[in-house]
Amino acid sequence: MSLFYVASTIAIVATFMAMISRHAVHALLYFVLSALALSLVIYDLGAPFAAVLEVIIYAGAIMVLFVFVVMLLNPSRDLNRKSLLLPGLLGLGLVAELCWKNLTPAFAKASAGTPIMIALFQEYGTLVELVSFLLLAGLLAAYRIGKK
Amino acid sequence: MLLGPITIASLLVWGERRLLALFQERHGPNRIGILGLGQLPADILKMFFKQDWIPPFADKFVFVLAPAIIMSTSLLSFMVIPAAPGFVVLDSEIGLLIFLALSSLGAYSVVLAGWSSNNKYALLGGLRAAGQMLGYEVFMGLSIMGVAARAGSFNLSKIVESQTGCWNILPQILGFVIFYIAALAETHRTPFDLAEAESELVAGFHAEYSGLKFGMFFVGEYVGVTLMSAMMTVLFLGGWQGPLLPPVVWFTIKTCLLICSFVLVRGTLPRLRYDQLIVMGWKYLLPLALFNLLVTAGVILW
Repeated sequence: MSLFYVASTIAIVATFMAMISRHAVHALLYFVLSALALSLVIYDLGAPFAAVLEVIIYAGAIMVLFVFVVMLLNPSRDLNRKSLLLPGLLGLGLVAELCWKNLTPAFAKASAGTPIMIALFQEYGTLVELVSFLLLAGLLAAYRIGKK
Repeated sequence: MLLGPITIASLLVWGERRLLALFQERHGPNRIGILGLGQLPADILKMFFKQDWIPPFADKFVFVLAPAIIMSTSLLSFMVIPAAPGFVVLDSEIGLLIFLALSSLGAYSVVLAGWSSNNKYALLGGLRAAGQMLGYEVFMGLSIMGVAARAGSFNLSKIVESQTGCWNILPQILGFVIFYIAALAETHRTPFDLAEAESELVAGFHAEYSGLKFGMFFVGEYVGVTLMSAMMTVLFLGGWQGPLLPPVVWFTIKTCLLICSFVLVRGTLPRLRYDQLIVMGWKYLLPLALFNLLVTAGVILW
């Protein structure tokens, strides 16, 4: 249970820091940290499959997109070493927790996510279709804006 | 388990130059020791004694963090790879997904290295790496879903066992080709080494790195090549399976052959442009990967 509390505290603090950071890239790094902490929270709630997906999709793909855009826009630089102390310490907290509470047994017996998939495509099939329509609308809007 | 990849990766420092020389009808490093193998300790010693310089204008914490990310994510990925029946650190039901998660986190290394160096060439390299990663990450994941569907599991040991009799490379040849291209992009090697493109960007994202931090990027690339080759062996070439020889030997042979093919590709193909890679990824390889997944699912359900 302590894993849950430490990870969720880190997630909350990191998200807060992401909001108040003055430097865009530092804010993004806090955001990545908060996604990683959230994935540990999900893991501790008993869904390793969803936890790994959180890392793949949010920390891995979407945040890289954000970093890409921020680098393209190249906001003014505010190189302050102190501002990176806190994300480092919070990240160290996650690592220490990983070392302290050996996660491997639970990951080894994690379910392959088959029940989630069956639930998504049978019980909630209509909802999944609706959400994908929403994504399609977003795609079309982006295309329209991009054409201008 | 850790010793194998590190040995292979460090031998590659020498092996790649020898192989490239062979392809280009040169000699390569052949002076020090037998076959030039002494080149390896010589290079390591040189790297150790170089001045480890952190630029005063760099974002120091991120600058130091970046090389550590690439090494740790690629070495951690080896924990889910089964080299022989039972010879695996973490026999997880979601092994394939853990590999994908770690490889997508590894992309931060190059991006952050480029950004924290606070140098326009390095920043351009990091920018290209981020764009490149958006281009290939999606079809890389989709191209191996066909394999997972055939095995009915994300567990890498079960994927290897499902290939008894018929390796995945035959029914999943499309997936193999797409994953191979993604692997080249993932390890930032020619034809996709846009992030370091030495003819345009000095040395790209690691222009400001020296000493052992540069060494981490250098060896990290080879660890990545070893990792991707081992992954392709597991997913498409039947893993440890093969007649007569013990499983670990078969696994090593297949992995080493794939590594040689990486070097061959590097010696043969010119570098692609940055937009060409993104266009290729989204317009051609992503639909192909989806088509492959659709056909595979159709055949399984039929």
